[in-house]
Amino acid sequence: MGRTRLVDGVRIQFTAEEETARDAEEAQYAIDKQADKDAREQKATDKANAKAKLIAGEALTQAEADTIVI
Amino acid sequence: MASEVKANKLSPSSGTNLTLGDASDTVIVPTGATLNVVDGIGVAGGGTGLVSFTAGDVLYATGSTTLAKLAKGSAEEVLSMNSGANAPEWTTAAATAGGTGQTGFTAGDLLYANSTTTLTKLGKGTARQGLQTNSGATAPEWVNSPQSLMTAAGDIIYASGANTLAKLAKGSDDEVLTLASGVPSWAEAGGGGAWTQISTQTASADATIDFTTLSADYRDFKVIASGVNVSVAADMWFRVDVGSGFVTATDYLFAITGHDSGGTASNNGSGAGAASFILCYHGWDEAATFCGAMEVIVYDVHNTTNYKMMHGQYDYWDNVHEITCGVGSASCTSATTAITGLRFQPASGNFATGEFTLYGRKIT
Repeated sequence: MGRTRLVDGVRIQFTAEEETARDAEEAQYAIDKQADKDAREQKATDKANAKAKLIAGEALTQAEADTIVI
Repeated sequence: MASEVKANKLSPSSGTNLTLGDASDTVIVPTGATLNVVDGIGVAGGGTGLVSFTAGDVLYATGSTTLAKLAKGSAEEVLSMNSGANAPEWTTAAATAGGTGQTGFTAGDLLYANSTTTLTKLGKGTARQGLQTNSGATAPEWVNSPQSLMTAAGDIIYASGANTLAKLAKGSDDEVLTLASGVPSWAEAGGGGAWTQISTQTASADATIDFTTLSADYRDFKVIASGVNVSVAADMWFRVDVGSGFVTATDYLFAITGHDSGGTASNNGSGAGAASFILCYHGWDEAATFCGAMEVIVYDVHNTTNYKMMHGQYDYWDNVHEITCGVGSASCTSATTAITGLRFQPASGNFATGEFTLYGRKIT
């Protein structure tokens, strides 16, 4: 059974075109969400690395420096 | 010895008295003969002293030796003593004599005492009037009653003056009761400003919830959604229709800020070219016991000269079951045309449950 939308109290079946568009939108959302998750995780990693390098007196990368400079 | 005297006239031989026979004699007028006493026989002689009558006449004594006649009365009159209590008369039966003192009635008349000895009548009232005592507390009167005043559905009654009832016919839908010149009347809600509930939709496996009837009666619109659950954990989006379909282009600008119960600012976010107003950034949890709620206001939707502002706030369980709250603002820069529709949708999957209620706010 396909998707429906509720419009002013009336439940309407998605058309084939709307199903296709919604599939594409959900797929793009998954990609964007994964990219966002990767970016957040990378930021966390950079922040941890920056902290460790500062303690060790090592040089930071630009990304690592960005995590600790406001 | 029997004898017969024939004469045309007997006259006394002296004086003025003419005597017939002696004390023990009987004067007989035979059967078939007529004795005509021109001026009648006096009362002392067993007569009436009257020479003629009219049908219905009644004889009564006017003195110890005189009689008089009382002409007949009118129909239904009764015989009673006159006010001097010295002669009979025909009258309408007085209340004190067991009558009413009235000569006629109309259907519906009521009788009441207007003195200690008289009755009067009160004409009938109009439909559904009620009987009450008049303001002087002297007599009954018919007055409007709640039933006689309220003639149509929706009528209400009020005092139009001291001790006076009046009807106010029902107003129009959405009008409110107000005062004008000291009496109640129906009028449009003065000043506006209150949110009016317009409609409610209940989600059940729906990909989107749309409101596409945004009446010109209202300037601002608000949707409150509660008991919202989704089929898969996902962000929550809000979109608008600016007259040519719901905008999915990257024309939304938004900024939101929020925290979760884990102590982190996990729901902060912004976009300067997003495909929706992203209300929830951290995954609305799909478990049935972790329903959330949200509220979105879209301002001045019918304006056609500027981009409309939106305000959103939300309370939900994120996908690690932390309470998350936040508030944000947004606008859609596709066009400055009036907004004609509001849409809620999870970024993926469907709404499993949720009550979405639309409110409108008037300013006039």
